[in-house]
Amino acid sequence: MSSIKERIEKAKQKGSGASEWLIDRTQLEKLPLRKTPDYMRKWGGKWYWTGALITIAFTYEVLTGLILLLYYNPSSPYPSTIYILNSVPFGKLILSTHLYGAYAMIILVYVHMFRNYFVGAYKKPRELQWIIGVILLALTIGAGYFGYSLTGDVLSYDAQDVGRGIASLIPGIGQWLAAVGFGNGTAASLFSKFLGYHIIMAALIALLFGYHFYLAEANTMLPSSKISKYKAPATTPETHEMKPWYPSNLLYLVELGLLTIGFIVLIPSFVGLIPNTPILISPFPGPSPTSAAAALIPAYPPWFLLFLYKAVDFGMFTNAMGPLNASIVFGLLPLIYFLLIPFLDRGNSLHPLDRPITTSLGVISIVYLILLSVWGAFEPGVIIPSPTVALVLLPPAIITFIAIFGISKLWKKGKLKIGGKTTTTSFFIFIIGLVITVILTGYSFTYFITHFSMLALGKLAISGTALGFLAIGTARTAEQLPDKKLNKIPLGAYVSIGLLTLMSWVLLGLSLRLNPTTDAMVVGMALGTVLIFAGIALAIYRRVIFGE
Amino acid sequence: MNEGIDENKRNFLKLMVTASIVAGAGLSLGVVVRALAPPALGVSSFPNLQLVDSSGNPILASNLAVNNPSAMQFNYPLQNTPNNIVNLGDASGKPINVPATQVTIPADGTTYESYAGVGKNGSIVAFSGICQHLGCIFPELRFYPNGVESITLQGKTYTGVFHCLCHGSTYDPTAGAAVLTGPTTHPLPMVKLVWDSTTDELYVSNMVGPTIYGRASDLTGESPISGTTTEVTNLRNPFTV
Repeated sequence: MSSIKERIEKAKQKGSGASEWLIDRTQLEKLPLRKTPDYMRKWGGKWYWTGALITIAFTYEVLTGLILLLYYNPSSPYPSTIYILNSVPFGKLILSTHLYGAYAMIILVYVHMFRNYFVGAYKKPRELQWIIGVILLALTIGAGYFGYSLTGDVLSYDAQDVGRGIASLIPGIGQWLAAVGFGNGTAASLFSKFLGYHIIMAALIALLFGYHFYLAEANTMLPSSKISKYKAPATTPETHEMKPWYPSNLLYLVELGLLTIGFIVLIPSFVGLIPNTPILISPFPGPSPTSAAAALIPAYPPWFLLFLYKAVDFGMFTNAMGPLNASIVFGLLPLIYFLLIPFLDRGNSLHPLDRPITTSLGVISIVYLILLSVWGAFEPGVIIPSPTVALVLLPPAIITFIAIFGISKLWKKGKLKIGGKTTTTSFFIFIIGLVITVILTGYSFTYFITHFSMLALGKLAISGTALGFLAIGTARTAEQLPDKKLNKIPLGAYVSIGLLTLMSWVLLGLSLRLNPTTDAMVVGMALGTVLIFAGIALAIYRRVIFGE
Repeated sequence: MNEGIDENKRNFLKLMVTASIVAGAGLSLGVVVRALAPPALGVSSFPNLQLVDSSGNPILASNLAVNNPSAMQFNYPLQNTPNNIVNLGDASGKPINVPATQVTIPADGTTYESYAGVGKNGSIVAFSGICQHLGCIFPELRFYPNGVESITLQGKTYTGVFHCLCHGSTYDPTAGAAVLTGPTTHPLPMVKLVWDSTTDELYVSNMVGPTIYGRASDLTGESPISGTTTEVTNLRNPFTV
């Protein structure tokens, strides 16, 4: 431990004139940011940085969003979108990665929330931090909805029709709210408002995030269960043993940034090169609402609202007030529940099995979220009779409650030993098993028989995910890395870092020869790869130099 | 303590990692820099367009009144690029036959040949409606038909000219819009009119002279005109209230 600290100190003293000047004048060493223990920066410590990943994705959204703002015209939404796609240099890349960056941000917000939910991070002293986090989730989905609707394609018109319909159903203030949110009926007023709300929500996210982050710094990170012993309040006080924020945390955040943005750029670039991607995941806008092709497209909402979309199809919600009721039951109530959880679950235990009701409700939320979304994607707009709804939704809830209470009982009696590391893995495998069971038995077996290729694909995806989580669960052993091994830089580090750097520059050189409009997505593949390579190179560097 | 890592080796690794980050940052920056500049607009060559009125009917040369003080403008060769079309006449209202002449650009002394007037009397010409001094357009840059006097800053009066009220630049339409008085140092660019004597219809097909004011070239900087016609609009008579 001390040898690494000494090394950092020595490196600082020995620094060349220019970098020494820069570090001194930027006051990098005095940044009022928390130091963190080594285990949080090691492989497997990524769970401590889900908030950082959201921040990186949000930053990417702001930067690409500002570039798009220079071209977008709310008085002719679809033509200006098409202009960005086909005429602006790299416009295709920027628009599609802005969309996928938002997707990444929404997924990461869910991951961040459920992770902190299950580990009880909302307990003392982080209640307010949690509440602001839930508001940030609502704002993120809101910004996503408005942004998604800006393209002026057929899906955006569908999304705003549904949104306006639900808003106008609210008793008393419905009509007023619809006018506030969606304008007076002209396309120009609609898209001007949507652009405004999209930016306002992004600004609110930035503002509330600032406070959320301040509280996170003030309350410190929730430490590992080994340290907290599963008891709240749990904090990570700074010690002199911890490495300074600069350079350790800065380098780690740069690594996370390179990897996150690398994937945000790489994935849509790759998907965008595949012809005829399904409209739900296509990185490009759909056809114009007035075109012939529009008639063939189901009235999909953005995928992150599919769960609500399916709920509207339920038998009990088919009456006039149904859409509003469905939104209340499956949207507002869960949101209120999560807002209030710090005051509902007031014990001081952080162990998921010590809080079986909370844990069960969290698991059920995830199952319903995934289940309803998948259902909505495969059977858009198909009315489901109430008994079938009960048949689909009740079994997973009952199974979850029984299973978690059973495991909890066994665990409390000491008959079951569950390490913190296997919990995550088994939890995900449990959910996946649940989803498969429900899909295969509870609901519309005939549907999956008739759509066999979809089932095969789904199985493949699910087993792949399960394997991924298994790998995460078993990879934890990589944490233990004896300090003394670091006294020599292994040959492999030279070779791998050297190769990564070489390939990055080759890709950079190749990209320069490509056309910025027609080859935008190919350049995106190269850019994403280069960023990921740089992130991996930095990871290897931190591993051999800092032992992380 | 054992200080095993050679600083030089460490610095080598540092350099390599920095180089890979620089590659990523450089490529990102390249994408952003390219994306910030919108693609250039324009056409690759001068289009051949027919002059039509607002209903799409062809403009007939014989219908263009001599010494008409109203601004008759059409866009060419791109959108938002106004040009004035005038039928020149003498003080008695008789059409003036305009021959092709050598026009000098005072700024650099170079010359070019203007187009001759068209129509039955060879009296119809068209010039850019954007002043070459600082880009003023109608109603500042306007046509003073014979009989309507323009007063320049020096107190000298002209008639039968293009004169700009912004700073007093004056152009002679009978001599390819050559500069009569400054402050402009460039004549107005001239549009090539083509007259079909059998149908009396008018076409525009080219330009000569300096580059249109404010443009990198005549053929870029605005959206192309779609279709094969360009509309002549009667803006109004600037000399009546």
